[in-house]
Amino acid sequence: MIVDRIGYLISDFLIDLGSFSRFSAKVFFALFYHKRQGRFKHTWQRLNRQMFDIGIKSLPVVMITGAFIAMTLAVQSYSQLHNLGLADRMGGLINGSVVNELGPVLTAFMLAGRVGGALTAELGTMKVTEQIDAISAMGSDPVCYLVLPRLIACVLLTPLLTIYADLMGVIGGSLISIYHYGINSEAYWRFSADIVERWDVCLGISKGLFFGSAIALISCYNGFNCGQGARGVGKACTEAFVRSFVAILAINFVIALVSRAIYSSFWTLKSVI
Amino acid sequence: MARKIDNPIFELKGISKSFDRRNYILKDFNLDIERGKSTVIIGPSGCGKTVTLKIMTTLMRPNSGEVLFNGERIDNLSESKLIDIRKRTGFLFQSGALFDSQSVAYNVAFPLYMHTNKSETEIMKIVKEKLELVGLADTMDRYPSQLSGGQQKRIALARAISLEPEVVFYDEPTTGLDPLRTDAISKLIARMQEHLNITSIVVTHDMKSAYTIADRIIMLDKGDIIADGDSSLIKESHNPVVQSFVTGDIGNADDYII
Repeated sequence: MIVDRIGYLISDFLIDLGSFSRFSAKVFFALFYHKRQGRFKHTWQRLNRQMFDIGIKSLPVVMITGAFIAMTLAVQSYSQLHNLGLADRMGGLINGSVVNELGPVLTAFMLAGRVGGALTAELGTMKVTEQIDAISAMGSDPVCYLVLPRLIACVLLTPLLTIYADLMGVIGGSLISIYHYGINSEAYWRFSADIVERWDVCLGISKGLFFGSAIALISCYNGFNCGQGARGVGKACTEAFVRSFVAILAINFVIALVSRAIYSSFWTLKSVI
Repeated sequence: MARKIDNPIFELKGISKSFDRRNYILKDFNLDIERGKSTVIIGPSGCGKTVTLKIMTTLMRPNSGEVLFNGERIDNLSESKLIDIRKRTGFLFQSGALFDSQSVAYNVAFPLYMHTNKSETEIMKIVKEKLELVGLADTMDRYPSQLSGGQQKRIALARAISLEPEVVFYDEPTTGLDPLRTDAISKLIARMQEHLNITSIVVTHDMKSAYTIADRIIMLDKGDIIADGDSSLIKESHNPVVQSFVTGDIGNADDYII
């Protein structure tokens, strides 16, 4: 009985994964080979609207997240480093963590919640009310019309939003460390510069490209495949949210492994090159 | 029991459709659709009417069998190859399926934006013409949520005919409307047929609407055609299932309905 259940779960998971892979392949194929549909003015308007919804409207929440997480990190790390006499080195710890991990990952989490949920709900409602079928029936490709603008907006704007989260994190962390705990400003920034290299900044920002694609693809896939009625839309939103979270964590882990390998192979040779 | 038609616009040959590979909604189903006429498909809920319509439009693919449009097989074509065929057909969905975040004008203009290179002025002129045809020329700047159910259906109809298609499919066009609006929509569909000389394929379970629209009525039951003819032939049918459906009298056959 239990073996049956596990078997069904695994087969459902594999079927879903296969279906998601086909959807992603269709989206990427449409990205490069689609016959442009609709006049440029409207294509740009659709992209512009998505960029506004995804980028501009997410900016405050992403900046607040970046600032608060770095300020909390400063408070937590000060008590420990101060006891060890290493409080001056807080800059490296805070800024390194923010730029490498916390900025990109928390930005992606916020976007998965704010943007991913909205994308799934919007597309799910369109699916349930046959609007997606209507696009097909009118001879247009719903993937081109609905998914591409959302994917492009997410991929382009997640790295930009990560920069804002990093910026606010750096500012927030330094304010607490320097003005609240009275750490020497020169030491704070010097240790930051020692720890945080250009590599870290570029890596952190480029993670946004992968996170953005994952959020857009998962959210749109769940919207396109949602069940009937309000319950179906709600379930699709919850699933999209959870899957995006898991995907972000898994992608982050893979990037950590790959980037560490690249870093240790090439970046250490930079002085020689 | 389906009639053989000369030079049909649509042909369904040996169509079978099942969602779970066990219970078949359609099995070895054959149907020819007459060119330039109104064909109404009637039948109780769940008899396979909408599935038949969606298979004809290739929004749904059959498990087996062939769908032919103007003699060419279309059920095996890729989505990109179907674009040219779909440009020649219009579809009125049961719910209207209007884009609720876009204005009425954009909804009607959508197929024109996607498939023509006309200027904005030309497109808006066509949109106005189509909206005048359905009697809603003053709603261009409004949104679907600001319109009644009947008005939404009429806007959806204007959108379905905006590219002047050869064939228009109607999925339950009068469902959810009051008797007066039902009659108005039925007459509008019949008028479209006369004005635009299109082929109409209508799925409905509203008999009054079917009599108003139809040149030919086909009744489906459990995936089979049980009656095929004009309105008078259906009215005079001796088949008890057809009679109970068209008169709306279940008699003692309540198990059939339930």
